[in-house]
Amino acid sequence: MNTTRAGSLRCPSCGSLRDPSLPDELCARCLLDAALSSETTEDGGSDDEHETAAFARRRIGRYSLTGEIARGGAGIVYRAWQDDLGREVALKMLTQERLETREARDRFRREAELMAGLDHPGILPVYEVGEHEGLPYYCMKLAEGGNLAQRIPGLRGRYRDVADLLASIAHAVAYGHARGVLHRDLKPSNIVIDASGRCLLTDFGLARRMAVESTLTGVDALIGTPRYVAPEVLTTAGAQLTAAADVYGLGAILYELLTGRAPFAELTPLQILQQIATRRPIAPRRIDARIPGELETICLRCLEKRPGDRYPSAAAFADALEGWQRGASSRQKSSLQRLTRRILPSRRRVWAWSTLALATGCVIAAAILLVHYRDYLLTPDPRVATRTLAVLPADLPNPSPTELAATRAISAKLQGMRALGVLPIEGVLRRARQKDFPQGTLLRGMSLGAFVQVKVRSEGPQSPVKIRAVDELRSEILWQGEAQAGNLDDLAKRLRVALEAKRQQQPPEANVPRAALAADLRGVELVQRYENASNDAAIEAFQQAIAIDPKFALAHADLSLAYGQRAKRYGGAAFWNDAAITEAGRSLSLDPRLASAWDTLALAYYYRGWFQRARATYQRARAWGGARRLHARGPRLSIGSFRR
Amino acid sequence: MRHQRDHPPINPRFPDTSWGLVLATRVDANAGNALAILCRRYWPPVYASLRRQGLPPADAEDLTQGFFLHLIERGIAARADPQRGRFRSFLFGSLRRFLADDRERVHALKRGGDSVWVPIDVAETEASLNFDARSGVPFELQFDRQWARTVVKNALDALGTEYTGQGQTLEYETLRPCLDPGAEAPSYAALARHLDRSEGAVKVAVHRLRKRFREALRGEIGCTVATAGEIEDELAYLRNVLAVSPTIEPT
Repeated sequence: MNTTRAGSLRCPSCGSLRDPSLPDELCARCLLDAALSSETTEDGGSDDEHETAAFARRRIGRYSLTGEIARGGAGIVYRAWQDDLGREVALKMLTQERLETREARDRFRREAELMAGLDHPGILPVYEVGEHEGLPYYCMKLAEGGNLAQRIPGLRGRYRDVADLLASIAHAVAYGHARGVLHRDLKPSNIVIDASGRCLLTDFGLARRMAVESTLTGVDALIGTPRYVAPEVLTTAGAQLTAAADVYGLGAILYELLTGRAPFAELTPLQILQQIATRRPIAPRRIDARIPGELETICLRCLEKRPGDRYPSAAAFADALEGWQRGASSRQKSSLQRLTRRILPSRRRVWAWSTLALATGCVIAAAILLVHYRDYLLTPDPRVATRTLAVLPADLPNPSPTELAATRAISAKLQGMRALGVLPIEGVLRRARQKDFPQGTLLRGMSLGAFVQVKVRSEGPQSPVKIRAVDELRSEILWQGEAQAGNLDDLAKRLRVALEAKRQQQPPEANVPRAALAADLRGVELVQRYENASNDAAIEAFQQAIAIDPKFALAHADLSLAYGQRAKRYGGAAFWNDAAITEAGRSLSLDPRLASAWDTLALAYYYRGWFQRARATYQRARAWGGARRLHARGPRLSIGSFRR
Repeated sequence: MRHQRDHPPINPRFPDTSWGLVLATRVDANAGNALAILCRRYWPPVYASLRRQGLPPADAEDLTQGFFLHLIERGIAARADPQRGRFRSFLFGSLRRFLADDRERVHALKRGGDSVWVPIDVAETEASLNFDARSGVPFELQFDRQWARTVVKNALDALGTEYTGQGQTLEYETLRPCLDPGAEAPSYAALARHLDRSEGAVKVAVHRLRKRFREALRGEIGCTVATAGEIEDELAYLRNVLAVSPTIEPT
């Protein structure tokens, strides 16, 4: 059983485990919650509103509640009047419902204590922490200007203001870090603005002391707002998180202020969590070319997947922003000053010599590296290899003339695509004719990641041509379309656009360690040979891949396939089929949309004799875009095979 | 395989096919049927519990069948105490006793192996099994969690059946994400475009869907408790067991 899947399988809203049998990634707990808490009353208002209205008339100690400012998952912030000092303040309390759980009370108390202990101009000050009739509350400065999330549209294009604002927040975060406090939930709505327009960091509800074990660790990996959460938060125990998690959050805010959208916007929470873990955000300048390149670089460095690749601290991030601001100011100085600087000969000579010295140093270092790490450096990286594409006629190795002509035409149209090398068609055909291999092996042998299959049923310019682009590694249909043989231009153009769009996304395997990916590819090669010995070796290779990266969903699916093959060919069917089912389940628990895992699960059911179930599962594989991974190498099982 | 579920009518809140009816009528043939229908809707927690006991899928499936046969044929429901007990507690208690009795298990396994009494769609439950495999979660809590998910799933299925019956499948499937307040559902504008309606009409439809879901959920829970007065308590209980760290002891 896999127990390290925290993150994508949790509901980002409440943190409970999701049930994949519910549609639309609905969360059972949130649904129950909604049914309990927000029943609409007859006069059109909700119970919540009535509760709030009633509550707002109450007094809390020396504070009179005058209204509600905001309501979050854990607490409500009220506007209140402090009688003795005659000032308006903000009062935060737990919701009635949260009040019932000890965990929520503990977290609330901890938040209040943490905030009260932080005294910094960039952090919203807490005036008092107290309890009234058993209800814990804390009172803070009232931020009249709303929060940063509401100001994002107005900040677009004001790069210096953005840098200024983020630098001040970064200093506040750095101050917290220096006192051992990680915020862990940095996002625009947690930055409030006071009457003078100053930004103040608030909401330390998820904050914790660094390197201190907490009694609340059960949910530590699950909390935070999905769009701004660092990838390691999904997989690392709370106590092991470092300042880099907050640096990521700062980068995510910068990203949104620059581009107007969060790094992984317009997705479901589950997709966001998957993308945070596996994909790079679209570069800000691709969204808006006016964004200064240096700010883009600063932003993307914060959003690096590996904590070590980000700025080492929030202070370093603030320094970078301030450095950019200084640079921007100096760039705006008069042209006379710039001219003066350029004509200083001594300065130029120094630069020339330093550059030459640096270049020489690099050449020597590269030579040393090549001598010592030749094997490693010259081994093709499978992730790089997946950037090649072959266009193939469906009827290999001897396609019809129309099919061959259509293949050539499509291949020619795809030449010159960005970041995607298209293999010459003649080489592919030669190879296909030389080796009587199943297509899968042929493709593997060429270290391909994707291929485009061109299929023509009849001869002549009117005959329909079907094309299908398949990601071989993930058994996923990337795109498919159809046109007449005489009119392929538009089809090729659409395919090209679709492939280029796909290429911009990093495949989910991008973060899998290279060794694990290599072991998996080796296993796939072996499993296609259909021999006892190679099945053993394949199982070993997949297990090795899983040992290196236990969360490598594809390797679990491949191991399931190898078990299934063993069940079918080498006896002990029930035992190995059960193993295949278990392994496919593991894979799906890591990546519920992995078509090849549904596929192998279907196969295992099929050989177990559970035909109905196999058929339903196979349909699921198709629903996730599954192009039978076995289409090229195993027994061809069409959907008709399951109709028994 | 999507088997036909025997859905309770969504309204009135307290349906005919219910645990209350089973308890009230005891020996009546209708009560037997009602119990059979309830069992058909609540096999996933039993199956999942058996799988977590380490049984392979085929055996767990057979034993699930055997357990339900055992339950019906022995008239065990007739011995349930009507004063205390929801269907959930009854089923869990029976399952625990059943698992403790080796003789019953072996017998049931044999019986279950060649009968198809409760239609079981193992594929879905299998896929969800690993999702709750947290070590240290007590057996009963795991059972109750699976139960809570099954209740929600049954309510959603009942709602889907109702909308489909009114020729509104597209509306239901499009608006369904709006049921979850924590989910980031598409905007009303996007939904309106997709359904080719005005934004106002979509808001009304979402409101109606949420209302119907609350009713469906209470209708579903109504099937599993002895009296209508217990519905809210059971709802709150099920919500709490799905919490990351439940603060209440399973009942």
